[in-house]
Amino acid sequence: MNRIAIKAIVKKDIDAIGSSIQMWLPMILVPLIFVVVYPIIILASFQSGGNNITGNGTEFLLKIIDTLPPGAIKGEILAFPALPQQIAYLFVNYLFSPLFMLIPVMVASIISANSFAGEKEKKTLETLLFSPIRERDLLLAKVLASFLPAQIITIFSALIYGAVIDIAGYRFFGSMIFPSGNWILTVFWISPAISLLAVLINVFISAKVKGYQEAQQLSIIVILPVIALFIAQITGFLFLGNLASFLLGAALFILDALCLRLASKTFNRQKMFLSCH
Amino acid sequence: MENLITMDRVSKSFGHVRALDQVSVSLGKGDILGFLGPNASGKTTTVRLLNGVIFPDDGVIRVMGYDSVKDGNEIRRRSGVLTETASLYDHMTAAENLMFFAKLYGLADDTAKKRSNDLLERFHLSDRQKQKTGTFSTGLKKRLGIAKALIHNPEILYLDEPTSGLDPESARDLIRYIKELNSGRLTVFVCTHNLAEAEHFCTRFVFLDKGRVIEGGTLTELEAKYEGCVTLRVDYRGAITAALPKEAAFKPLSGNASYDSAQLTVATKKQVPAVIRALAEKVDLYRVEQINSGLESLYFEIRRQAK
Repeated sequence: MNRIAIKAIVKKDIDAIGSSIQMWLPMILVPLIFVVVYPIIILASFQSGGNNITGNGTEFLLKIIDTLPPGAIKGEILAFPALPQQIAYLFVNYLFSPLFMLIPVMVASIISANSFAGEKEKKTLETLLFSPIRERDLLLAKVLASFLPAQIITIFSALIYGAVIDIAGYRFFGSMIFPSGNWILTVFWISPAISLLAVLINVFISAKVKGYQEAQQLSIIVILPVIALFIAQITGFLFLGNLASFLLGAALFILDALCLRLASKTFNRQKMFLSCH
Repeated sequence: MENLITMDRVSKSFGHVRALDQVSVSLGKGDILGFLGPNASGKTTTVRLLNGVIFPDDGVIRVMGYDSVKDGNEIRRRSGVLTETASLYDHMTAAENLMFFAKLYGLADDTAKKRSNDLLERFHLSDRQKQKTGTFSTGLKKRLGIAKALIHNPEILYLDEPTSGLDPESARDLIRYIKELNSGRLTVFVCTHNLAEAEHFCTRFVFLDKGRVIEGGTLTELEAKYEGCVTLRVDYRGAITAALPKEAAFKPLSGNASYDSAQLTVATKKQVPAVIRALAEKVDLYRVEQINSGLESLYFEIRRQAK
């Protein structure tokens, strides 16, 4: 393994993010909307509404709480005396977690689309392939260059989200509710697995496309399962408790391992080179 | 002479398109080979095959004793390539680009910095080393691209259209530098359309057409092989037709107030001295120049005969 070359490529790719507003702006703005604007709106709306909240939406959310299997999650929610607290807790601690997963997926997709397809577009992949770096090292460098920033942004986003919830919701909930076991699993177990998957899927996409825009458009397919997960959670079809989160992460890691194996077999210098032209 | 590159009956197709067809080329250490041919004749494909980034369908390629299919990384470690586009990272400065490529080729930090500074100075880029290459002109990018290809002190340098986009001064400087490097025994493989430049710095030539080698050799060998009629341009004052030997065909050209001009054609090079002597006795000669000599004439003649 050529660590010097791998480190050089990772650094170069990460530096490239800072030089392109097209890349860094959505990676800052979207997480900020998710982790600052979303919890503030949720908390503000439930705090201003008092204890009397009604409507179809409320009934729907109560139904979700009712259909939860008896156990820790239901216990946590019902431990709050008032209905607005229960629903707000459901929102910020559980319903939001699949949506939060969009952050690592989106960041990983933006960077990895640029990392491979962007190099093709700018005709710099050719010069990398003319260097003596081994295919496996190049693949590893490219995966790390997308995966590491995605994880760093995810962890920072979770910390900001936690700070907003704990500061803005302290009086409302009567205690600090973040972090919970569910969030630790989301940030440190599911997010790395799903962002790695997004990167690897982008490797396959990039091998087929000619440019960054095309790669980015196709990479939207990675977001679809996350949206499906959010819909499953909000409709009560699947509820991501600790065990379900753990199993989901494990399944994603198995998928990662399979994709990585496939990628290292198909990441062939000649194929990559010919796909540049 | 020890062969550094040997291609033996190499073929390569892309889908139904035959890019190279039974190409055999050898290149000795210290040669500067001009690889000449029109667009899509297979020049760039050859460079890629020689560097092991694509593989031949048939035939064997050995570079510095290594097999291009099995030992591509070993070949690439000892080769430098300047592609037609300089392939630099626009978000990085000139110095950062060189340092990045130095690391890819495994140079230690100190060596990389020294080599980078030397090359920046050699290519007159020291004052721009902290400037992002995205702001560079084509010529500046090309100069930096060559510096990049030389960062690891390669044994073979591949240049794809090295002087395109360069101003005449930079092109001349680059050719002088390639010659300097060559005197230090660097082997150079140049794909080019610029026949006038190639004639001045290449020691051997290979002519390619539609993926096939149609001719090869040194300029002297090729001139001897393709020796034919010689066309001269003559600037003179006096009654030239009376002075002309019968073997020279005469065609007047537009002259100026000081002298007249004409084109003379003789069947062989051996007749040229006699023609010049005969003219010098009867008319005032200002200039005699062979206009169908050199690589360019050979290029067209070789291609014409190949058809």
